[in-house]
Amino acid sequence: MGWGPVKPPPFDLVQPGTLVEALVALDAEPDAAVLAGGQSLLQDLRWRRFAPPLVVDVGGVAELRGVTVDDDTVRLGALVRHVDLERGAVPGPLGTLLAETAGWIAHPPIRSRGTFAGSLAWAHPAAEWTAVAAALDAQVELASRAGYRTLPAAEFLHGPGATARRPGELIIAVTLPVLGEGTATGVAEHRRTHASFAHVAVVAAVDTEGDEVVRAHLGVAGAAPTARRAHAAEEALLDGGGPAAAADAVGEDIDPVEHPHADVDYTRHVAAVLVRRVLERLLDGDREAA
Amino acid sequence: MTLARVEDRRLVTGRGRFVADLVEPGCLEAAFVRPRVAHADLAGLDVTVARSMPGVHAVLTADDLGGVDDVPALFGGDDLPPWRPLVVDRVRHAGEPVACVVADDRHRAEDAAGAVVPDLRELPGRPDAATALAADAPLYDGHRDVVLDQELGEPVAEATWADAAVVVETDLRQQLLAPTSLEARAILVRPEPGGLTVWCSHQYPHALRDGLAAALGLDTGAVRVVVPDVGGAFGGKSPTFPEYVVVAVAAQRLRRPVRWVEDRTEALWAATRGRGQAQRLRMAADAEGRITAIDLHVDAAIGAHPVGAGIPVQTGLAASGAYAVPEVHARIRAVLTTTAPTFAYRGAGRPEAAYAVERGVDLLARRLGLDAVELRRRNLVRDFPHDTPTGRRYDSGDYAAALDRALELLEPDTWRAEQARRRDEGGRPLGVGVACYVERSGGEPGILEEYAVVEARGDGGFVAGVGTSSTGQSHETVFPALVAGVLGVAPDRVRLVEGDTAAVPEGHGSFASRSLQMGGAALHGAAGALVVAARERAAADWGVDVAHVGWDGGTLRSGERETSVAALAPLCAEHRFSSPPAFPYGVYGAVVEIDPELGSVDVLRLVAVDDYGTVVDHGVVHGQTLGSLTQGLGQALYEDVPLDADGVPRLEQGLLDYLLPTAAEIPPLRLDETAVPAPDNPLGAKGAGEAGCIGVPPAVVNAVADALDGVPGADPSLLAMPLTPATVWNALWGGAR
Repeated sequence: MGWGPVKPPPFDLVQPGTLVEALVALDAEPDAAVLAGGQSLLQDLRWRRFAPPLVVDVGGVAELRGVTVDDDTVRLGALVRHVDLERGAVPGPLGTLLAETAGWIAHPPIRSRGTFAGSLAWAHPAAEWTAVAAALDAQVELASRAGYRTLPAAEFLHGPGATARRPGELIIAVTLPVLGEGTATGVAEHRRTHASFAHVAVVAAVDTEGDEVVRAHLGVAGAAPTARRAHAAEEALLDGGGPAAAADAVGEDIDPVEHPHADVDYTRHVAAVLVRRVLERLLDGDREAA
Repeated sequence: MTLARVEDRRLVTGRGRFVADLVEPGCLEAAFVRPRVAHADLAGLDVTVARSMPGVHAVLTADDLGGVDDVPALFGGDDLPPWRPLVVDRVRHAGEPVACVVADDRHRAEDAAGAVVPDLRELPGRPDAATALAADAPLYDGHRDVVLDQELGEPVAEATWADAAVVVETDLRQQLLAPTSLEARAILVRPEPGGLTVWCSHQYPHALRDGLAAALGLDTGAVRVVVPDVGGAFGGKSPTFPEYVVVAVAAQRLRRPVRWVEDRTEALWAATRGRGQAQRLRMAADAEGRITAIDLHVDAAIGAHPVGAGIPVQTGLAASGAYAVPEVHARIRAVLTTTAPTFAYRGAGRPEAAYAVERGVDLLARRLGLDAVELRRRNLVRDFPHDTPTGRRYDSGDYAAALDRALELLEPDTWRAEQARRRDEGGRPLGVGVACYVERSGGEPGILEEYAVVEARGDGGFVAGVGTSSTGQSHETVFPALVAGVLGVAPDRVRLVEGDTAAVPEGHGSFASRSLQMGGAALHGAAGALVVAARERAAADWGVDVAHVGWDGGTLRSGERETSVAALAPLCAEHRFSSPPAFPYGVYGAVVEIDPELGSVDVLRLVAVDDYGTVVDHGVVHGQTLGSLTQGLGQALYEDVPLDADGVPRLEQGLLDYLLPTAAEIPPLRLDETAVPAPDNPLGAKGAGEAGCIGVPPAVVNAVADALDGVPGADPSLLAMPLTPATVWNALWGGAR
């Protein structure tokens, strides 16, 4: 390579064709980085945030492709991209939620690159997919030469850029629960420009019987070191408190950090407003929200 | 008239040639070592590992630059601290270069830059003027921190304040902005026997030639600067930067071409900033709403090197706004801070003034219970030329006509009715804001002149040379057509030459919206002079009186005699145009809606009526308005270089943290122009490059303040740019949350 604006530190590249080859490569180099969509990795390499000695490009691993739907779960292979979900790769209310969420991620060129699993692996605190994963207790399937294990999102996501993934491990898929036909889903997000990161994003999936909320999944990104399921807000909702009570309660679920353009109080307030708005939209049919 | 842009086919099909695209055999690449501390003693610098790394040709530090002169100062104050090309013993802003690695390619240069180990002893920083003014010791031993302290106009008489029906007083902030051109800085230097050839993404090639020659101790004639395609500049590309001096030294020492292409991270950390002022404004009016006095005090954070210390003086010069005000006074201080140098950014001092004055006018109107538009109308300058108390002579205009047209497009009555309805019945707060501006184009004494030459060639074509230098202003389209118009020939017979100091001997580049006003006028004069020269030559050849020789599209005739000007080649004519500055003006309006829970601002309509004098090409001018108003929206709503307590930018995620408006952020626009000719310009032209940056911020902020006026408990005085949702939310709650 000659000069160029793209200037990562030196690294070795392997492009395995099978899962076994990928796991062998990762096993041999504990500091290896995994390249799937490249949405974040390529940027961080260019910035020289870190210098992995080896990059394992898993793009050619067929076992990581595709969406598998059965009666209870939807399994997203590690190479499923944002755009696949935006275009309806998953049926039913879960698919509706995934499609709406995907539409909030950055802009089309990024959505055509980034992957759902890669977003969880990167664990950006404001990433929309981490809110979905937290809300729905996604199961993260990890593989290594030593074997397989599965972790729920809450145990997998540790903090900004930090996860439970160990050296040698690869996310091979993420499994989400199928949502019932009557489940209402929605996303509310606040950000400063169309292309900027979410300041706060809230995803919701709610089942009702009559006026009563019988099942609630709420996830919040951007208001804590990593996305969280909003248990207190869900509880308030299940207790019959409605959107306002859930909004009041979400403060217990979050732990914002200060940003240059948003102090902690403001972020707490935004999270509450978004929770209320998305729930009003789902429960009251108020389409004006968010 | 709107011409199809000649340069577009090349630029939009990837065939533009920027510095990064140049193919120069044997060219090495440079990378700079930039500590991310705002202020620190550099106790040591270990480059031994870096020097031994593969592909590395040199690692330059301050020790290697003994024979190199200081970086040339663009600002001519006395007692200025020296600006060394690389840090000698103290880092004074984050990203200030301490070493330069030159390697076979950028990857290796970056690898080695990462292996340079500076020994830094951190010191307290001074991120803004107030902190700097309170510091115990000067930033440079033996030099004042206040590098400029200038008063403009006479101090306002105490009686004026005492006699006023109303006096308003407010503190305003101009945040630091990053002049984010698509292409950042870039230079390629090729050593020549006894000199240099330099390709640079630059606004002012002749000044770069002179600056590099001075720094390196070369004759001016030994340095040739060529400006290839440039991906925007916005004021940030006219100095002789320290990096440029270092790259030139490296090329000389290594006897190899060396290139440096600044990346986005470097640009956001270490390139020049714009704005950066703390303002204290005081304005007075009588009971009828006639403004009687303006007093503006500016403390400008000028950064660690005072290259832009003259910029805030523009703010004082513009402190009258568009109004006839009997007493206007400004005090301008430029203060050294531990931030990257503050320099010109599109508008360069005038947006800061317009913002202060136009916020003040709205405050006066509220206090007087007068409509803010009506108050403006009562105070507009109506007779020209108009001398302002701070020393400007406004040349021409019909400011009231621009206001009338803006109101037609803004339809404030309709919005006011909707605002009243919402205040009664509920609904998102809605606000209407207006701002008038007068700016200055063409430049200041010393650059209020431009050189052009037009040559007739033997092949029937013409070559037009001019001292301006395009950074995206459509010169290739407009200038040949302008010359062709004077000559009466088809535009494709005229070829433009600019941005090459070997081809055009003198010039002042492109900034201060000066290209058409100064360069176009010079070309106009040179083309006219060529016609005269051709007629004189023909008259001499034919032995007739020149009065009897006619020119018709390149053909000379006298009676039965006829010749093509090509037959007289080589024939050329020069022209040096000089004039006072011009004063474009306009009126902007904004309608905004606020999300009362989140504080988000939605601009529902943006109106701009600009007067750029006589417009030569409407498409080009329209593009300038669109671009500048978008950057104005950036200042109003999005852009900011947030600093930590020492002055380190908090921009870890680059352009994910420094938010630029994109096409998706552009609101519904209603744009128009009026066209009162500039009296001092043969084309009638005034500059058109900076209007939106000046008009949009006060219009938008005034609109948001107007919206907040209807919200019980809200405090518009808490608004400060950028109007982030958090800022607006805080103001909505009067700071009580």
